[in-house]
Amino acid sequence: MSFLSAEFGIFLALGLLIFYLSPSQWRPRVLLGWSYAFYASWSPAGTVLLLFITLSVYLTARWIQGRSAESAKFAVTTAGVASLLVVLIVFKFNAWLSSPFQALLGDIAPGIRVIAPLGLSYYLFKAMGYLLDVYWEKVAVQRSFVSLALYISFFPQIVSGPIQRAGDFFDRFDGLKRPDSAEFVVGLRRILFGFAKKVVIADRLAVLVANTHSNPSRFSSVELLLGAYCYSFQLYADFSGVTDIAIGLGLLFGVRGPENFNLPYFARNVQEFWRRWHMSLTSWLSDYLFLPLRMSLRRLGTFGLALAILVNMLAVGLWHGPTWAYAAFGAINGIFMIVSVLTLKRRNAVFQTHPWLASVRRWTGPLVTFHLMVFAQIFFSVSLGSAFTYVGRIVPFPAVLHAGVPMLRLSWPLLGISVWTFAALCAGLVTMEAIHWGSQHACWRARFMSAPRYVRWGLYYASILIILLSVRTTVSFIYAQF
Amino acid sequence: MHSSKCIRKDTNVRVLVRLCAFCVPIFVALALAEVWTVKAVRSSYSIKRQSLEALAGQVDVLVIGSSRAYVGIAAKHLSGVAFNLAGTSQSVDYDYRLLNRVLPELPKLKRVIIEVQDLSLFYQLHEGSEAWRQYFYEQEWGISPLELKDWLDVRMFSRVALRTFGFYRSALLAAIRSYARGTPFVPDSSIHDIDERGWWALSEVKADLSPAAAAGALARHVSLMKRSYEAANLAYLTGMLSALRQRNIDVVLVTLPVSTSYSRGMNEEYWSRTQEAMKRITTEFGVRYFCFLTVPEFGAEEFYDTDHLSARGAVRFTEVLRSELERP
Amino acid sequence: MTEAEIFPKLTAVFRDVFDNPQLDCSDSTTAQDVENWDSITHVTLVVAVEKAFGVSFTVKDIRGLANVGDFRRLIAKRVK
Repeated sequence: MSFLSAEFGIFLALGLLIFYLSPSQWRPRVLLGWSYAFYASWSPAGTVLLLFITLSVYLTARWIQGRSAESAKFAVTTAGVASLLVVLIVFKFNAWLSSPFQALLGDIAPGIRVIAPLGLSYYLFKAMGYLLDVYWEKVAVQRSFVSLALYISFFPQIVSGPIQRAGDFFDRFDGLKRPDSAEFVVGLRRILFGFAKKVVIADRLAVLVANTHSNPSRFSSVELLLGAYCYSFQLYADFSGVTDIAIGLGLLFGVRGPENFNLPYFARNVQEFWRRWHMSLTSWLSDYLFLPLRMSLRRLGTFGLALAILVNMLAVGLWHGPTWAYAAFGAINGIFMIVSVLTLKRRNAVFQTHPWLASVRRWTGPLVTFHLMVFAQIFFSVSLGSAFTYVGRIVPFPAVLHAGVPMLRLSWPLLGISVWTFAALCAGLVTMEAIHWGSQHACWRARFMSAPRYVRWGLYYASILIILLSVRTTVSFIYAQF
Repeated sequence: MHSSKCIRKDTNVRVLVRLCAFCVPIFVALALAEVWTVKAVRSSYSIKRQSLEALAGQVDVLVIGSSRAYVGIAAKHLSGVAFNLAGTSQSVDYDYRLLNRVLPELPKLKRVIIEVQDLSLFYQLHEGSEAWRQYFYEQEWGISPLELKDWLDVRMFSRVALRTFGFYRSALLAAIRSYARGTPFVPDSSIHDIDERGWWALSEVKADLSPAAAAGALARHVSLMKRSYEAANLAYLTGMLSALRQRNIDVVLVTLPVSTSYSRGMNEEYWSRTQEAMKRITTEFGVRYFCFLTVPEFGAEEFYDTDHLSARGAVRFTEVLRSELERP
Repeated sequence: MTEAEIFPKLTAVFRDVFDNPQLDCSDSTTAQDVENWDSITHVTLVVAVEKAFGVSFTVKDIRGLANVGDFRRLIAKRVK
């Protein structure tokens, strides 16, 4: 069930009731059972796989801990991580892998459409991270199967992250057994905010984006550029909204998950952007892929650095799915990052010799980085071919490519949105970023919390009303059918 | 001396109390919305029920069927006091249950006109994207959904839930506009074309009767049709006929006109099965069956789309039907 | 090499890698405290330290580091 459905609301309410009525020692078990019930509601077969993987990781970790022979430990860890990786690749790249065989098998064996299990990428990354952390002695091996199983299958995080580290999760276990009521309320606020971002901003921007991205040849350069900007904000609002809901849900049960976003579009360069966007994924890849890879390539100097960065960014891209577009997305980001990293020292030197430029850099840095990301994200949104078409059509020349469509037109009806709705969305985006910014500064948080209760509650009620009024349902009420 | 556990329990209780206090206005708002929808928001179902109740003592002819009859038979043009109880996507199982529900309240009923069409024997409302109408029947007529799994839905008792978010949004906007202009606010204006006899007069448009338009409608209908419903639907139909025969009420089966592009594309097998069933029923129950599937005189102005009549077409057709009925 | 000798040499490496001649770190300094210290420059730092002290680190060593103090103790262990 999706987080945004009525059934989930009932599921959550029931789960909270059972959780809080259970004695504190039983709460991890109750939560584990509830997480498995959630997973089973999607697929009983997938639940068996989840259990099997959890059991294997549990036993492997306990085996590694006991050994002293370094080579044996290394071999088993490598085998463990490799098998998890194989499982991930088999399920995610199923279509890619089986297509050469499709031509051979043809009608004899029509393709076995294996759907990737829910949250596979997320929980396998948790499992791999745990195994490596035990090997590197960063985390003590988990003797309680219930705790490990709960870490891997925790239902708020299993659908779309964030990817919490094992050590972080186990450190906060007391919070799970005896949740803090203040955290509960924080969780509710996060869920409300997340819903607002997803329903009010992201889903509404999606209308415009769906139009421009599905048929770029119908739109002018200006409209396509607007579409690209809107996509970047839609992606941000959507993903950060869903993450907020996930973190908020975790807080309701006393689990504080890691943040995924930190004002990414304010980043001053590409490296910084990737330290602020989808942080739980990029920090995972940085610790478990980039660092070991870079260490083994460190003798190769600059070439080693460039290769490690490229592989890392390709992994970021392909983690999202087995398509050429995602690979291109990763490669583009890799190239941007390599250039940025290698020229950083020289750029810093230039700005140091011209101090007046430094104040300009405060604005140009984020602006340029934002535009680089808007460009890269076009490859994230559509297929590779469409992405090239899209980018090609933003460029105002050669005129022959734009036959029939005036270059500088901005037609709101064609874009599918009224100028007032768009203005409201822009206001919403500014509000969203203001809230993001304010929530990081203790003085603004204090100011909000010290406001009288009717003000705060008034804001919550207004938000709920706006969310309900913004929900887009596909059911059309028009007399149709027959 | 309070232990930390007691303090935590106190704060937990306080938070719980505040949470409940926060939710109270929400529940109050929902309750008010519920009251408002019952009082002010009408649906085609509530209008028909109220109109029928007003005329119950006088109605002597009842029309029942799906949307083709709903828009295609202008009840006031039939002789006597006729009422159109057909509904959009109203399948034969709902015809049956609706008839049973209203029969006791119609003492003067002399004739029932039942619409038969290509979907009649092979479709049930709970199947497909119009299934939300079940909850309107539940709330307005007390007719519960057939399938038990459909009972697990808040729309069984909540009027607010019957409508989409989009409805409330446009209602709010319309209310603001009406207030600004000083005109009275009426939610859901699309139901105004239903007359006091339950007929929905569809506006005159230049109907698109091309094969492409027909193909779209046919595809939608075929996706809903299932052979497995045939036996059950026939039982509903014959059930209606027996119940009416017992009360000595005359029954007439009618097939309404569709455009030639539609009739040409109809599924041969399903339609021939329906026709055979009609032959059996007419002999067994001694009822008349008028098949007006193709009426060559009806052109683009008589139709609203490939399988529904416009207001003009409906009036013309009802006159034709009336003269057929009056023939001895 | 004694622990006392390690610290000034380490500080010099830090100042060079992070391009900040005024940089001062103590045992409790972490990556958050130093500008430009991210996963990319971290390995640059490690390579520079390896060169300066003539030692070699494994990934396990690096993963276990939480602050500069840990780094200093690691170097002392490896140098022996």
